[in-house]
Amino acid sequence: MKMVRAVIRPEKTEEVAAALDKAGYSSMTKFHVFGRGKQGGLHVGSVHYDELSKVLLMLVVEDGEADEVMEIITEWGRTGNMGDGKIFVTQVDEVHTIRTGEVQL
Amino acid sequence: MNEGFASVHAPVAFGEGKEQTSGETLDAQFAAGGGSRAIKEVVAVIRRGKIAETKKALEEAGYPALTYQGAEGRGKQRGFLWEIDPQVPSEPEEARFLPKHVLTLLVPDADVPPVIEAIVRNNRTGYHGDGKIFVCPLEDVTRIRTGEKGETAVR
Repeated sequence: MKMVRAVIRPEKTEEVAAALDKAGYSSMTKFHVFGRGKQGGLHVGSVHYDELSKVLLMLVVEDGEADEVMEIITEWGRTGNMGDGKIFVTQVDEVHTIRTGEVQL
Repeated sequence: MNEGFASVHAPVAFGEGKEQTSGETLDAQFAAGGGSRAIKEVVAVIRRGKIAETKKALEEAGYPALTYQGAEGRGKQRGFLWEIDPQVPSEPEEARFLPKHVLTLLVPDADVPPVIEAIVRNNRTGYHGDGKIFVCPLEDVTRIRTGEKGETAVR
């Protein structure tokens, strides 16, 4: 299985989450985080914002579903401006459901 | 004994630490089959309010080192309120997020089963929303204080 972690704009969270839910990926965890990218934050005149507020969405999906999830996040989280965020995909070896003790998704 | 204590606890430069804490010798050991350097990241999404007993249980089991953070999440039930209170069966029109805690532990491969057991034993209520545990492989770990790498860095 794969863990998909997407850093997105906070104002896009609801749209992205709703789109994922509609496509059948309702399970996810949401973190409020602060970060910056290649541009080193945001410069407005003489004011420099070092870290910007972002939302990190974490989903664990089957291997073959990671691409679709990434497409949905890209489609709904995109504004075309810098700061739209990044998506990271990593390997997950095992998933345990605490309620039942099952070892699967 | 005092000398030993001082040498262990003296601040070391990053490059130095690697030699002193035997990154190379460990590599040699691993090459010779002397151990596994495989580390796993155990990420557990659990109910808020279960964190105190989970921490206590993990500490008693010998895993005091952990990180946790507040998060919001939902699962297959799309955030039904009976995740929080089973007495309130409500069907939301749209999915919603419920408050959760996310617990992260870094442990050597062999310690994954006892950690999972401790988490499951203390978090199972039998109702939806008990959470999931993800076990992810890690390439490497560095202890910032000493520069130690691999399995020794998480012990």
